[in-house]
Amino acid sequence: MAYLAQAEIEVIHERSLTVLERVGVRVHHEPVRRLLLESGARPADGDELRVLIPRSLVEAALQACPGEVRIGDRRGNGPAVLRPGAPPLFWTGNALYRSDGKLRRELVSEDFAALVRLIDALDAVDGMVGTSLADYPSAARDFVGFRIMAENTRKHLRPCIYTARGAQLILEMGKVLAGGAPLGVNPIFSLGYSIVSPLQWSATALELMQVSSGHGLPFMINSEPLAGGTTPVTLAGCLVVANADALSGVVITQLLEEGRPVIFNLGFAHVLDMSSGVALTGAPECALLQGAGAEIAAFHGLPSAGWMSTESCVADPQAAYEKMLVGLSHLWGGVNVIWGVGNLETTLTISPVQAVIDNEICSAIKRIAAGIEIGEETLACELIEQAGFAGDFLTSEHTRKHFRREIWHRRLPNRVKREVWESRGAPDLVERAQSVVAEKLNGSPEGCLTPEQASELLAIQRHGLRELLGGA
Amino acid sequence: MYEQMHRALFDGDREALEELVRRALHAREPRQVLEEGLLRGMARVGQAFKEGELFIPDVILAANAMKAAFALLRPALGDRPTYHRGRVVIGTVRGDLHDIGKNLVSMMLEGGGFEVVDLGVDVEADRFVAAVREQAPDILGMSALLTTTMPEMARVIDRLEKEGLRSHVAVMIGGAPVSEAFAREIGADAFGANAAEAVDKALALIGN
Ligand code: B12
Repeated sequence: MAYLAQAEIEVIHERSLTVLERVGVRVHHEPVRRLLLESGARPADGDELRVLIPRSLVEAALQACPGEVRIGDRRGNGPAVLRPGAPPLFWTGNALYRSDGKLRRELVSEDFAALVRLIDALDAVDGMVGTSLADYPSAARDFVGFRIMAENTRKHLRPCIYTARGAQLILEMGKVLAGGAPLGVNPIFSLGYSIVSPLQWSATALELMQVSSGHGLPFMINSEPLAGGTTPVTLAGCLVVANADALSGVVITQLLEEGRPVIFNLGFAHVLDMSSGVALTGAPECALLQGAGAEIAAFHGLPSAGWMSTESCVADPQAAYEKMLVGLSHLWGGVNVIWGVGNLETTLTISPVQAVIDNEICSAIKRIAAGIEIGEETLACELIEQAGFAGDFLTSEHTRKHFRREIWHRRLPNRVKREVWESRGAPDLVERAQSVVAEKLNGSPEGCLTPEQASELLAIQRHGLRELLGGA
Repeated sequence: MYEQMHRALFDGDREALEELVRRALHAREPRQVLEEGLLRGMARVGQAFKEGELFIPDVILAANAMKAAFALLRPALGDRPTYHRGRVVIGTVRGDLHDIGKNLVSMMLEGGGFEVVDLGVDVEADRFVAAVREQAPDILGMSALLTTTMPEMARVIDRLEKEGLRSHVAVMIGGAPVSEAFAREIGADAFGANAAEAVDKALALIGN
């Protein structure tokens, strides 16, 4: 393990169990609180929201979780299977703004649709995450965003939920997309929510868990600690809190739906910059916390997630190096789902240009994850003997057969010599990414929905909007 | 002597500061100890923070040391036993549970000489209005980190208007998705992008 030794994980876990027994969690939702108490959790004196969770309850819940989580899509290759040790998937990230050169502006549904189409065209990105949509009322952004995603990509969809009602409408839309198949078989979308670190479950989070239970739908349990803010500044103490946070979520999800697939996500951990007060996402400490978080998840036998982002406000070298640093470190930690493609500015902004650059970062990380294949065919000793000192492998059939898999061809990075590069106008990385964006951003949606699905989704959206706005 | 007080504030050394204040009280005018020793010291701490020389935990420690030392001065200050330049009521709006930014702003405002009444998170419009009525603050601070909860700020301002309280209090808002433009749009008096700016804007609002 890259970050923590087995014995160190055991110490952290042991301390987290003690925290759950002694401090417990505050549960802002009466039915779930009752469920916990009926299942062996204990009430605490003087605070009716507080529930103490004995370790037996945690252990039973961990036992109940499947060790594998399927993450599906509509591309027809069958679902990816997440388990500790599996190669990572890359998703975009939540955001409030769309970057526009050095400026940023509000993200409206038209931008979002174009962004989804761009992401659809990026080969190394596996999933699309919902963002804010400034042109819709806030409580509608989750289900309207989901419809826009479904219309523009077949990749995995991960809406960001604002209300439990939004999640219900999304479940209805999901059923239309699944065409009658159970949602858990090839889950083309998944859900998740964050605990309020430290140790408090909001009503919205628990309502979401509740309304989405019973379908075998993957649920990502996020602990989003901020070292030095909501947890001890020491990374070890932060992990104790984060592990306790997420374990309490495991207990609750499993009480609501035994065997529900969960992703154990300590990977939204931040550290507080003590000068600017910004919750950092691209610092090396984020890589340490999130990689260690994945190792703790693996210790529980669960898949994990993390975020790769940056504090840079534009697509620039800082953005590239911070995202590469954290993304690659996630590979060493065994993070299964890595969010943040396109994100800039501490996840507040999403940038099409950065998404194109991130696609290269994801591809490079996937190449490293694919590793060096060892076998008779790849060791190629026969060929080595045959060639002897001539060394001409370029013309061999073996090369033609294998080069595509061994040496991944990428178009975005500069890989030509100066003369050629100059003859092409000497574009730098950002300029090259800009031309990819110009080419792909305005593509038309390629029939990701049948006409029937499109109209059913629109009908659900209209219904939801009518509920929210009344009449109209 | 005042230089030593400033040093103690920079080090967040409460005991040293208290000792210095106790000694100063024998020889000097209490109001001068407050102005030259504590308040000037805190202003220097604030400046050092802005320049990146001190960090957030240093400022918090300094503010706590200052509060403790002030308690010793207080009985000697006669008819104006306060160092507060103004009072701020602050909270995170309804539906929003993000509080780190709000807490940071509160602490820096305290460091900057304000008395702060913190209403916590998920604060209903009614509670803001009641607090404005009861506490009569100079400034009402509201924090929102979610686009879904930003409209709540406008609602609170509306309620203040309806209750006839709007003209009694300046409204200052902040939080990651909040902007200067949004503040103007909803009729708030100021927007603070971060804790240091919050202090500057608060001082400007009370005419300092
Ligand atoms: C930490 C965090 C959390 C923690 C909060 C813990 C806590 N106790 O506060 C937890 C995990 C609970 C959380 C939960 C959620 N979060 Co959150 N969270 C963040 C994060 C990463 C950092 C916020 C933070 O604390 N920053 C550090 C502090 C110091 O900075 P700050 O808050 O911005 O405050 C500074 C200034 O804004 C200003 N300021 C703040 N308030 C005020 C007030 C006044 C009067 C003034 C003058 C200035 C001022 O000064 C402060 C100090 O410099 C942000 C991302 C981001 N980049 O901001 C997302 C973010 C705000 N969260 C987001 C979301 C979506 C959520 C959830 C809905 C996620 C989910 N589905 O589970 C829930 C909602 C819970 C709820 N009902 O509130 C989104 C919001 C997107 C949107 N559309 O609105 C963000 C932007 C992340 C993202 N890109 O998706 N979150």
